[in-house]
Amino acid sequence: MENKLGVYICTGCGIGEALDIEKLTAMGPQNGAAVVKTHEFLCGEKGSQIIQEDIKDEGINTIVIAGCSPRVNFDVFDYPGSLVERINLREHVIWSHTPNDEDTQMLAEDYMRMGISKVKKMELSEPHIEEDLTKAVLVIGGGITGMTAAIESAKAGYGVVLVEKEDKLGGFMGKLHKKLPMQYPYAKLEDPGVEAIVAKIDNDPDIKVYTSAEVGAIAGQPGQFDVTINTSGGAVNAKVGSVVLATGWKPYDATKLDTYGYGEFANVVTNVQLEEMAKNGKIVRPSDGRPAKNVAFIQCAGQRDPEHLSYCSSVCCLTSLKQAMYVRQQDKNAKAYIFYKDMRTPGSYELFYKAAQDDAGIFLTKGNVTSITEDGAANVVVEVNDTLLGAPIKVAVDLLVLATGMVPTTADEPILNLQYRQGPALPDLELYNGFADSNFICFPYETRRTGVYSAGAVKMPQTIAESIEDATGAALKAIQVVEAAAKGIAVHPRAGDNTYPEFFLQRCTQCKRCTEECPFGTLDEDEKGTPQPNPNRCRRCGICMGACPERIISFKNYSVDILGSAIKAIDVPDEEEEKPRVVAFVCENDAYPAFDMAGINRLQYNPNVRMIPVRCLGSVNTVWIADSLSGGIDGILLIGCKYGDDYQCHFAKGSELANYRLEKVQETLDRLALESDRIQLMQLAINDYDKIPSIIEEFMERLDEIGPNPYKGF
Amino acid sequence: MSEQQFLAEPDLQFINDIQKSGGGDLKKCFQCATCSVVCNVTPEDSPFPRKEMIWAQWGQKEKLMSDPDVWLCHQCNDCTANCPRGAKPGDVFAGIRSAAIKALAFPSFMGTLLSSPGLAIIAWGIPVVILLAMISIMPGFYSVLPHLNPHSFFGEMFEQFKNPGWGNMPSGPIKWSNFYPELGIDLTFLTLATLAIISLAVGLVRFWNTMEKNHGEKGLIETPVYNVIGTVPTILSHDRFMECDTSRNRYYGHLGVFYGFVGAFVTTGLVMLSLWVAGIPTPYTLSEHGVLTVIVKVIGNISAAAIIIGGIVLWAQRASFKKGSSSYFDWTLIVLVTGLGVTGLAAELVRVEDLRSIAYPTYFIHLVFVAYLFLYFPFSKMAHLAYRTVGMAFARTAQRDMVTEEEIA
Repeated sequence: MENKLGVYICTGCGIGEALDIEKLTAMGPQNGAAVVKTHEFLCGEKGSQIIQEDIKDEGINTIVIAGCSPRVNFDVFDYPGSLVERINLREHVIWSHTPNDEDTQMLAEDYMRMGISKVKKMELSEPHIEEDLTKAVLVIGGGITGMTAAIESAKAGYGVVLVEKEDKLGGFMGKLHKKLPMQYPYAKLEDPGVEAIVAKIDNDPDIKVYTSAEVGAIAGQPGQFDVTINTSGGAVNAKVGSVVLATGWKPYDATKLDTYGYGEFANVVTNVQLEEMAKNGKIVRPSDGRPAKNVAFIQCAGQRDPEHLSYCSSVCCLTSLKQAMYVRQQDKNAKAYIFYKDMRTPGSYELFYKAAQDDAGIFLTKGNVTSITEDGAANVVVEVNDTLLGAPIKVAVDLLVLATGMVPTTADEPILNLQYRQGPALPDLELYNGFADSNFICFPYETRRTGVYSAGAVKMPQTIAESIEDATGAALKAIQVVEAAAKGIAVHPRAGDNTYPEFFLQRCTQCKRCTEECPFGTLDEDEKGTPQPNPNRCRRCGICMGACPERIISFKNYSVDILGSAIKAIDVPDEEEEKPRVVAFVCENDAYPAFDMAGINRLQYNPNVRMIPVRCLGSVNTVWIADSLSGGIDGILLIGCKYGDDYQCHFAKGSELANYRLEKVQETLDRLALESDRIQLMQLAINDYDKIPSIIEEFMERLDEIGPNPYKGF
Repeated sequence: MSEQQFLAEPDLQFINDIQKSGGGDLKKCFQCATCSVVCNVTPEDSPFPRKEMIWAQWGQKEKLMSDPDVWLCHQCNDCTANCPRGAKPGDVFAGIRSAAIKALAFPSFMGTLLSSPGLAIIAWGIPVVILLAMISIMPGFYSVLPHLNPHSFFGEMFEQFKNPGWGNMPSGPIKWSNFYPELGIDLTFLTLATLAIISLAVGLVRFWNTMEKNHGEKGLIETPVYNVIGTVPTILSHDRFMECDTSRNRYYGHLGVFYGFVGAFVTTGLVMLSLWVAGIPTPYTLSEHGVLTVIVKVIGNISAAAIIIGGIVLWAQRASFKKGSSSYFDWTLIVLVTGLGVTGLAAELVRVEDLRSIAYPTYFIHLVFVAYLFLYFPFSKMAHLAYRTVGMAFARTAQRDMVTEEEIA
């Protein structure tokens, strides 16, 4: 298909008053445009009609719209079947630079050239849709989370395969005596009612249940997962489209808690053991089987403790309050003591805390347990200091209950057993203490394996109520991904993107950088190490494209060549003109909107910076840096999301990888006696927009000290 | 042995006691200390009511029994009005004080009698029985003391049996001593007062000792008597009540009742002096006794009015409490105070108006109230007069209650 270029310049929102529009218009024909038009209200009905008519009458199929940010009016400027490139003259030019100034005009002209050169190299993308897709959901774990995810998915019309390790469904919820209240006023304990949920699953023809079974292997990609289920009767195969991981938690190994007298004194038990006793009908002293009248609870036993679990399990305070109620219900003269570091009852469970607190026989205090001993009658004697009462407390109780914490099942087992090049488990879970969390601050349920969504206590410690909500959300994500696979489009954060990376494998050197660096384990390898794409696992971030030294990975509208041509389109003035030029690769996810916000707030910054939006800093190929430097560009900025343990990168690893690669480039520059300071990576959170002018100014000052690029003019 | 001083294990029964006597919401406290911040009468150092609230939650009976701060509280209810959790510290303190009066009571069954709504009939029945018994033996006194009027209650009753109907009371002016001779009255009530004083003294000594034991030697200044006297200006001026923001009207109510009782005490003293020293029996008439009549009538009537008005103010205050409730213990006192005033004044009115049919019964009811007051002084809320004084005195001895003293000065 021959590209026929139309350039449309909007003069509204003050663009017409701040720039020399005639000059900009003249750039159209110079750059091969068949049509150049201006309009004072391009996003209005008449404005967009002009473009529609040109598409119909003139055969325009490649459209450049110079006006506002591509983050607005994307629904107006949507022309299926045509390539569209938006040039941000409003937020990034006239709102953030001096109107009718020479430098502002040069900036606008550079953006015009860059946009046009990019779009001329783009191609229309056709979605890649795999064959033999299935929409069934595999749910791993038959506790409340897994059961809810299964029921919700089936309700939405998706088949479910439910795999449970134990011989019956129910999980920990099935082992409870009572559960926390689920509704206002959050004061009365409820029957767990797990039987009704199990019955619902048993009666649902769309849910296939395997008990006493485990997932032996998962191969393939979203829409096409091949699952091997190891059952007591041998291996079974199932085809599913997505996976909900809901394998929950296990109690922390109490034998490690000998400092609390566990294992040493007969009447020291864990909260899980107490629950079991309550379920069996009677809370007793293990030493002699007599009913336990006075019971003490120690919170955070082996939790929030660097020697054991470093984190808070979030539900143990509630559990102890609940179990204190059991103690009081068993005997109205009983006393239940709860010694805590901090009483944590999230959300509406504050009301439950209050209800327990109102019981005259439940005694609560913050405190440090200083001694646990046994008296002659096998009572456990607990001494606590730093209490709220201003004096130490000593109580002799029939039973001491340790509120032990939750260990995610993913902490020491891969569970998923993925047949991926990057290994069977979810990566880097040590960041989350083994929980299958993702730190995707804006994307709950996500894991770093596309099509696998985690929910419930395997994701983070949570209550039954939270698990139910979590399971519903994860089920929805699992449904989204199979539907996206059916359309050949990406799931978040580039939801709806129908491009996908294409590999020109003839030139592949099997360096494995792409297969190793993809944060989502998209690429498998053949024996030689050649990447084997799995498009449905791909999130379209382009980190592989940034990694590839051979530059053989590209998207139809985003490639090394396309962005390279934008760099080359920048007009670099001579050294004598004293107009330095900086290229800034700006992450589309947070940094680019931050620049938009700077514009909206009319923050002014140096006009010598040329921004190039990128899908992720990880997609920045170092060749662009070489291209820029050899083209006489004085400085290069990479502006993207925060990385590290509390990263904000939308693709988890992108900005971190960019930084790593940049360090290598800087080493090279230093070796060549070029100033590595010319190139800097900056982490910019979306709310940091107000810092933009000073960040840019500092960099420009540094460039000023270094002086112009010596390659300028070559 | 310098072992750590651990708190006692919680006394669940004690918690129940406080909850039953008004402190029902004590477990709601979450120790934010808003109460201690808004309290205008607490010392700044280690202020109440926050610490007492958690002691109460943890059933620390001994600590609360020996805590003078419980008695520095004047139940303004500023704390209750501002408590974000509705724990009502003001009521909890009232409950603690009731429980303390009950626990320190000597003999201890009297504490139970006065704090149990279920035993109210017995509590009121005892003074009735005592008075009936005393009146019934009155004729014996007449033989010993012939100069006194020989009528007796039962004589009157006998007359009535002969001529049924209250209208057939003995002729002549209504005279209380016809009904219950002065000597009988004074012997009865002086006996009751003596018993009360002994009981109270035991309770107060127990109270002081327990405070001293809990406080330890440190920081105590050796001037208890001086410090008891030191509390007098505060009590007389009612300054502490003026510190209250929420229930300012209690100042007037309490002031009226307090000085009403002082006046009633003075009146009674004057009458006793004039009878036993000067030999002038009641009733007085202006023509015969002149100045004495004026003084006794003026003080007596003003006192009665002060008690009634004060009682009504307190009553209205309690009835309209949006912040803070009232327990049986509180209400008994208010009923008693108001009842004393009302029946006293009514007895005077029916006598003056010569309403013969209801005169003696009214007087009898008045006497029941008085007997209740005397008999139960150490075990009812009335005892707060003594316990609060001692508590304040101890706080001064422990150099604790000085800050607000200075502020007042």
